[in-house]
Amino acid sequence: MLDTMFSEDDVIFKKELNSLLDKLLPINWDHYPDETDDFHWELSKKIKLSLSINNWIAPSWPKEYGGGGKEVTKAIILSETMAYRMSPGNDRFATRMIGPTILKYGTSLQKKKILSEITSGKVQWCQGYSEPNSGSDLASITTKGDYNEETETITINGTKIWTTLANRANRMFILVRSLPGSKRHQGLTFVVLDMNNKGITVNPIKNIAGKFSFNEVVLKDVKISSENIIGKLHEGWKIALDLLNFERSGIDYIGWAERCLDDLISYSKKNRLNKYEMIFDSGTFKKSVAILKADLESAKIMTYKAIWKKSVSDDIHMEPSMSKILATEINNKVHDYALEILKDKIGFIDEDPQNNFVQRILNHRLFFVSGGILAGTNEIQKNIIAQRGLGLPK
Amino acid sequence: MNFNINETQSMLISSAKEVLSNKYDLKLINKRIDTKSNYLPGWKELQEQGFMGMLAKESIGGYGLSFHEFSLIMEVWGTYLCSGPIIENSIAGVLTLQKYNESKFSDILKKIIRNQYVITTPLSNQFYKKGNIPEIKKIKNKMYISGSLSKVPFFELSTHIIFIAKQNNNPKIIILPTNKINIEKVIFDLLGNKLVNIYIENNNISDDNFIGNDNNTHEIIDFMMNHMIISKCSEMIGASEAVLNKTIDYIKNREQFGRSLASFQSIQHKISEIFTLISETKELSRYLSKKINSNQKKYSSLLKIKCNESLNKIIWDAHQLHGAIGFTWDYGLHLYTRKILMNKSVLGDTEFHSKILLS
Ligand SMILES: Cc1cc2nc3c(=O)[nH]c(=O)nc-3n(C[C@H](O)[C@H](O)[C@H](O)COP(=O)(O)OP(=O)(O)OC[C@H]3O[C@@H](n4cnc5c(N)ncnc54)[C@H](O)[C@@H]3O)c2cc1C
Repeated sequence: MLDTMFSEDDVIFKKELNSLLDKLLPINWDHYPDETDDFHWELSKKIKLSLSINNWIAPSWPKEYGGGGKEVTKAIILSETMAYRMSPGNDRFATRMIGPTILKYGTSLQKKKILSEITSGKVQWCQGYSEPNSGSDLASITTKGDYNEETETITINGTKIWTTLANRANRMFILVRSLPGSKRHQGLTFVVLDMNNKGITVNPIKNIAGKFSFNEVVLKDVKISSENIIGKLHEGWKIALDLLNFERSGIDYIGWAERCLDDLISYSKKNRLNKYEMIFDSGTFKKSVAILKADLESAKIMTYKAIWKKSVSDDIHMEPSMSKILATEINNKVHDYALEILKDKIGFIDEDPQNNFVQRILNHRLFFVSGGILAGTNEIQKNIIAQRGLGLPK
Repeated sequence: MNFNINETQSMLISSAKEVLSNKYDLKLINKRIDTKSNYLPGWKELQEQGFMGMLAKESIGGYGLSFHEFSLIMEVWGTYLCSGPIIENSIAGVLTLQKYNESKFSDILKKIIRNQYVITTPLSNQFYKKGNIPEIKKIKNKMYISGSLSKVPFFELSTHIIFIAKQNNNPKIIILPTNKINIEKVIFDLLGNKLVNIYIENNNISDDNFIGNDNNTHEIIDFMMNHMIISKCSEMIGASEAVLNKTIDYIKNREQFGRSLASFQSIQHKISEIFTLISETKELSRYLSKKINSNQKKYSSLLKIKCNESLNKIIWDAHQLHGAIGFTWDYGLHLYTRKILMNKSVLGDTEFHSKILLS
């Protein structure tokens, strides 16, 4: 519906991207991308390489780093379309977190090395922020990153947790406490590291949908050179926060929600409500779907605005927080409504393997519990909107 | 008007807690989902403690508890995520047989109470889906029954099955031994409990297999459904209370920003909302469990709607309050989530009950 926001060139890009995905994804692909699954992982690697050949991994990055050199709308289309198609191969840790952060804070050497590696499609990144005792309160992290002036190395010791895809990743960006005895935001350093370094143990954690999507990462005497520091030593907090604003737009949730709603509409046209009418023909169904659609489109426009604003202005603003809340909530609402329509079909495991839609909606609804939690919980986003955005007292 | 739980009822709740609390193991329930094991926490324990006779009159060896008291035990049952045909035995079995055909079924009743017989019923699926009604035919003065029944819970554990059948298009309630029935298909619910689709093929039956008579079949069905719905709601309420307690424990002990999560006002508001929703649903359920009988379908529909809608909301809020830990398999919050999600459509979903309520 919001297609009118995009240029003719954007529309062509979307078409070309979709036909590439048509070629690469198995026919009727309707699985949530789960790169912990071997098949999905191989597919993810293949898709990344194909995107790379077209310079589409990061369509809006400068060409010198393998980007597409195009407007930010292309990046929006890429994320939204890949989410809608449920395609693996969109490494958001790389293209939406560390990449833009390096573009802004990295040295020219770091830009060349890290960004070009990302756009080659040959790496997978993960994010080492959260720790067992530091979730919402990121400034309380305790993982040590002791700096040795003589050798110009940092030695990392500590435990990170909930690290998505650490079991697949070969790179990690991580926030460490580099100044011994420092408190809260002071004395933190933002570094990148190779997951093949000695001293890193990855312990998978099973999630409520039964998958091992995230991990505990134990770092014991992991040594890295100072070239891997992004920004300045002990001054990593601002960078770490800025990265979160790149992360939070909620655009994937828009793609997932839209796909679920479209699939629900198709389902409603093929299945009966009762002897006399199809689900689609019921007034209540139409009304509910229409309301969801209106909420979805308005949430979508907020995610576009958040990404656009971040690309044109460096000010701290509340759009990413608002759009993250709106996108994760509408996605859950859409899935909740789908569960309501599927009713008693959802009470069983694998009842009918042919009917993947039911299992998918159920597993997704369980999985999307995480939407309101990761990338800064929705409560924390509300604090940001009230306090940083509206200037209300803390 | 009296909202109190009396001393005997408190003791009953405590003893149910004592029997059930050390038997449930979230790890084993998780394992049941993964491996489809036959883990039935609480079932054997309640049987061994004589709980199958809860609703049976003392004259036939039972405890003579009221349905209200039974529903209090169902809350405890739900709290510990217990599994087993407790509602099937107590409601479709003891309560119904005793009320409508005590003398005819006195032997069966005694055997249920002594754990020699176990009852199951697919009534929820039959009643709600309005499908799968086996047919009774008379051939040369003999009666035979044939047909399929789907999603029968705890079938392999059961000695008898109670279900709706039809004879010349009139509904009948039948009790049949399970030993001559074939299993056609096995399926599993969201918590890994086994259900089966069965086929009854020309089983010979007699008057002994009929529950009730030509005039009271509808009344008996309503009686069973109303009581089963309220029992199921009590179980869901118990599960939600466990979610509430787990969440309160967590937010009290988890610290962020140098203070316990429980000290943040927005968290206090959220947990208060959860508590209020559960409290109102529980009061409604407890009140109705005292009032219910066969001709008050609307009461049980009202309660089922309330449970479906309110308890669904509290599980998602509880997940949010837990942060990432609640998203893990091992922590086990998802088991309650699955239970509440699944039970939203067991014994009728909101749409189904809305029609009854507004009829
Ligand atoms: C699926 C998933 C994937 C993840 N992937 C990664 C990853 O790749 N890398 C990584 O570093 N981390 C990851 N995380 C962790 C995520 O960033 C944290 O879960 C998040 O920051 C919240 O922290 P917590 O889970 O410890 O919850 P807590 O901070 O303990 O919060 C629990 C509850 O308290 C609320 N709360 C906390 N503080 C306040 C406050 N001041 N006011 C009001 N309410 C408050 C929260 O909103 C939440 O509802 C992931 C999490 C999930 C669920």
